[in-house]
Amino acid sequence: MDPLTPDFDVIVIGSGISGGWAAKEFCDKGFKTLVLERGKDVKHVEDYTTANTAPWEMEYHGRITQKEREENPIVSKCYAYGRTTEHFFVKDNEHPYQQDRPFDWIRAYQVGGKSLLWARQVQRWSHFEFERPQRDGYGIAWPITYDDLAPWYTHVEQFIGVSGNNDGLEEVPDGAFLPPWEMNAIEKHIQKEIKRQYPNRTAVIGRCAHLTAAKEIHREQGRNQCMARTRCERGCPLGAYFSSNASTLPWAKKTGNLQLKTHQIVSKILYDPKTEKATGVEVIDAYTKAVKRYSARVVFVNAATINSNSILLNSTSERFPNGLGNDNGLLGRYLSFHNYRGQVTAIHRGAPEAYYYGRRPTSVMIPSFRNKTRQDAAFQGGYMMFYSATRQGWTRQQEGAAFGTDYINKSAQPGPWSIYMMMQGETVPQKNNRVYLSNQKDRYGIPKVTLDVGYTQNDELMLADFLEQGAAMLKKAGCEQINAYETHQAPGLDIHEMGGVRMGNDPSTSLLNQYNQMHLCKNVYVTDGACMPSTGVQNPSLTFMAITARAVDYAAAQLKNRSI
Amino acid sequence: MYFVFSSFKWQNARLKNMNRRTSLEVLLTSSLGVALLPQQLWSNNALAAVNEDAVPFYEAFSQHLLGDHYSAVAPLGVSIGCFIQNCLTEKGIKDLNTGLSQLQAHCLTRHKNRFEQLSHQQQQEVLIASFDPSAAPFPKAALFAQQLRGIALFHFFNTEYGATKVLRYLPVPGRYDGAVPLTSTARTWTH
Repeated sequence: MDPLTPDFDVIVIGSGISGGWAAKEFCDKGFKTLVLERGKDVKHVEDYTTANTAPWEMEYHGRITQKEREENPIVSKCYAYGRTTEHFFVKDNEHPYQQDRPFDWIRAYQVGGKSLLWARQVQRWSHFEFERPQRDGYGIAWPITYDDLAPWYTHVEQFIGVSGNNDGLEEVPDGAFLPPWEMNAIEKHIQKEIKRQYPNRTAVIGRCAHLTAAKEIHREQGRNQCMARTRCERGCPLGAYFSSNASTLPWAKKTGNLQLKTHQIVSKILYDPKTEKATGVEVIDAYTKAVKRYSARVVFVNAATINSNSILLNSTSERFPNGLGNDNGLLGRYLSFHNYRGQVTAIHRGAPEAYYYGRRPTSVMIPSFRNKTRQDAAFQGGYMMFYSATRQGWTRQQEGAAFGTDYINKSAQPGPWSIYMMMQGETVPQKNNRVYLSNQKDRYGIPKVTLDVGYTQNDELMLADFLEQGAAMLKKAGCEQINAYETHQAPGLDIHEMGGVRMGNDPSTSLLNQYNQMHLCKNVYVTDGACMPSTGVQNPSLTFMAITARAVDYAAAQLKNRSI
Repeated sequence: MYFVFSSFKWQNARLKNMNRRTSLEVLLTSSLGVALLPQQLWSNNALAAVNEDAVPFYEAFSQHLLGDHYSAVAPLGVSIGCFIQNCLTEKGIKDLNTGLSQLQAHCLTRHKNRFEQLSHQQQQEVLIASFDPSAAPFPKAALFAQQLRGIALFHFFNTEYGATKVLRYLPVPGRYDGAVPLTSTARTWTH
């Protein structure tokens, strides 16, 4: 590895949702880019082996056995984990980690990472998300504003394809949308009642990364319109939802500038104290355990939040004994997530004549209405709600006969409307919520990750508010049999972990500047969830992608003018 | 194709741990299995894993539960037993076995025979009482009956017949329409 003639212009660590975007943007700009993926290859279409499997073709009709559940107590809690998707998840015993407090770490080690498995809900963050932590005193100032990111949101939305409606709401800004999905009769009824009875609350159709109408840019990617299957987590043969596998990585490959290497576990970033820059990375081959080094002028860290933290913490040197760029000791701290602990179910007896056709990959969302322009609730931060209405199926209780031909025929008919509502709450960044490295090592000789993350009283207050408000809103909308309850789920199961390598204006309280460049190592950028100073209310993935595209644009300019 | 291959592989491993009679049954069914539907093949393969005493009851229960639909998916008893054995928690299996023992004890006391040996009419009466909390023939009878019904329905509605002929199987809807009239012949979507 010759520092004077690096192997590549750029190394991107990780091929998931943000790594794929970094690769695409750099390759589009003509930079020789190496993407290092620690897991297996997953080829678009070819490796979606269960995409068309019917339930009767699977052992136990697709149900996971109790033995498998006991062997995988963490990952089997994930809503998307099952017989048709298990091959895309890391099993609990494959890569053990340590927990000081319960944290359900859901991982996907393969090309595309969790972009194959994500829930695909994409809302722009509003200026409230960027301003509220400092305004209400629960976080540092974001070094960027909504206006800084807005053009990059548009850039990303146009490429990935986002269905949605321009609702004109300040709390969820409009975007470059494809046609929205439609609400059904009861969802529209609840929407109308909320609008009528709560002047400051609005229900709108969710925005998701599905092609409701494929445009030329999507056809160029080889992607097609969504067929409303909702077998998404198995991998979509149509490429109808956005994933690295269907979109950014093949696009980058077409430029001729991409090299993608699988089974390459990055153990550390190499640092040269003379230049005060990174020279490249050290990797361990997952099969042979052979150690290799790759050099580049720039390193983008996109290994997913916790692993990005882990790599930086393990990148020790004489200059940085506590991890790369970690003079302030904050690397790994302020790990945050989303509070998903509240759910409400109900039934509605209206619209008996209405039904729907197909399966919709999104739900209705109610943007945050708490602490909007000032802190007006007993807790800090905001939360949003999602709800959907479906006709009950054969699992419902019925009046009359308990078995027999008529019972089966009746079970097969659509039942009353069932309502499901859930919360997505911002958690306040806490210094003692952290990821750090254990003294124990994994099978590759890399220190194991330890997670010390928990809820706070603020989360309890927010949860209580959601349960009360959610139930009240559904009641006012005419719902019955309302059941508001707590899921008791541990942090991590939300799969929205963020922070640890946060952006900020002040190097004494942050690790990255406004362009995601490490304050103390200018050619290393972190643009996945690890960079986030706060979690916001909205889903985070669209923001990861927009931040990545913006950071690449900046880094590319720096590379061209030889500033890094 | 993958399913058939994996079934045979799994079956070979099972053969090592079963008695001669069961081995012969499985070998016989596997030699015929090539002509059977995957669901039936799976059912036969699973024979060694289940509580054999319970299988005739599961079969009779399914017959009553499914009525005219039963013949399209029979037999279901072995696959239900296998599912219970492999997919339920230890407590779930114990609860079902307790319920089954109590139901059989009730049948023996009341009718001097096990459930599966009763007349069709007598079986109906036992099941009607079991599903009725006010007429419970044994403790927690309704809970037992509902749990078993849930498992049997899961099996039924996930068979090819149940999913495609009774429900509406729709792997590729092509679109979503939020405003479709509900007709009297409408069936629940499944996938």
